Amino acid sequence: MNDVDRLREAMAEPPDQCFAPVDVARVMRIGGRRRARRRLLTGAAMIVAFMAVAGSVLGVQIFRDAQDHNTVTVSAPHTVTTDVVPMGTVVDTGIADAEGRAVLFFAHVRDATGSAKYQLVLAHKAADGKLTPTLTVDADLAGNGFHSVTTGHPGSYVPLFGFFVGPVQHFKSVYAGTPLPVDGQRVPELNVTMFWALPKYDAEGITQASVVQLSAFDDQGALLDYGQGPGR
Amino acid sequence: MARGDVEFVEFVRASSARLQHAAYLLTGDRHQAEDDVQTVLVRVYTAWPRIRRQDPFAYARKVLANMVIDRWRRPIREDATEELPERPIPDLADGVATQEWLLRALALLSPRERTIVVLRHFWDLSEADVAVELKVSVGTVKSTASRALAKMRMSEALMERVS
Repeated sequence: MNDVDRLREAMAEPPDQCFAPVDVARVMRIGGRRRARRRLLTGAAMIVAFMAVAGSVLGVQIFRDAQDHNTVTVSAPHTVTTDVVPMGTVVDTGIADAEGRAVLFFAHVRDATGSAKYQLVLAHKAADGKLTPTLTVDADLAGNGFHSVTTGHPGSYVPLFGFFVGPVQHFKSVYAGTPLPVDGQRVPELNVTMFWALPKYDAEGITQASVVQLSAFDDQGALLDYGQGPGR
Repeated sequence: MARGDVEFVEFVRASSARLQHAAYLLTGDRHQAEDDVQTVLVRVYTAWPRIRRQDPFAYARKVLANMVIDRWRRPIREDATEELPERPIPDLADGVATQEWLLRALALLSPRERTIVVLRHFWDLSEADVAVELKVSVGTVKSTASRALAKMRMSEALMERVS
């Protein structure tokens, strides 16, 4: 028998001590408290972790929203003005409703104080060519980028319209996470491009409070420097 | 009583004697051994829903071993000494003498050495299993066990010389 065997034999011998029996009830009482405390802490930690993740996600979203220049808030539709006379091209959007076809044009008007200003007009064009203004919005032609972004609802099927100043070739738009098709037509007299969103079922919900992402691209497909969001 | 609790009571009944024996070898003190086993069982019960379907005995053994080493790591501790404690020399012919010698020899070891000796030769774990249990390398287990056995042999030689 070698040293290790003798050591093992010595260790295997029952100790010359009489141990007190384990107080199982006490063990379970203390252990139960520890378990409950641990579960509470784990739950609290999970809540804190969830809050931290949710907070960071929300924070990032808010930060992105703040940084995202191609996000525009659709302005409220203006009241209809009377006696508006088209100036330059009357752009047919191709969108028809019961009252005719939706058209866009600029008008040069004077307000009550006699000041002249441009307005962008969304109107119905009847079969006989009669124009009935539906919505008007003041138009500032100075500065590149998006201008007068306005919702066509109510009063028209056009979900969104406006104009762009600059060498835009085509537009892209995203609403509620899905692409919203946008058409455009140049108005050479004013060197601007009208644009309007095409009616879609999921675009009917666009309101004054809606957020729509608009982008403008040149003929090479490159995003214009000022092609994100309203120009001013 | 819940089914899990019934199982735990059964586990305590089956394992407490061996745990107390191991704790006694690790600490050399009956009261300390009783306290340690109580603490180990509290921790086992805390983790019982998680470990009951695994190997609760291995879990208890691991907790006990690490508890002894952790106690040694605390700032206030009892260090192992090369000096034999002042105790009466037992009669080697007596069966109790083996236990006396064992405890005196174990008292020469550091807590880590003592733990490795107990895991290897009382629990009969392999060197690899000891390494896993204590989260050290197999080489550390081998060298520590070798050093511990050398110390214990020295103790034995001294006892024989005294007797």
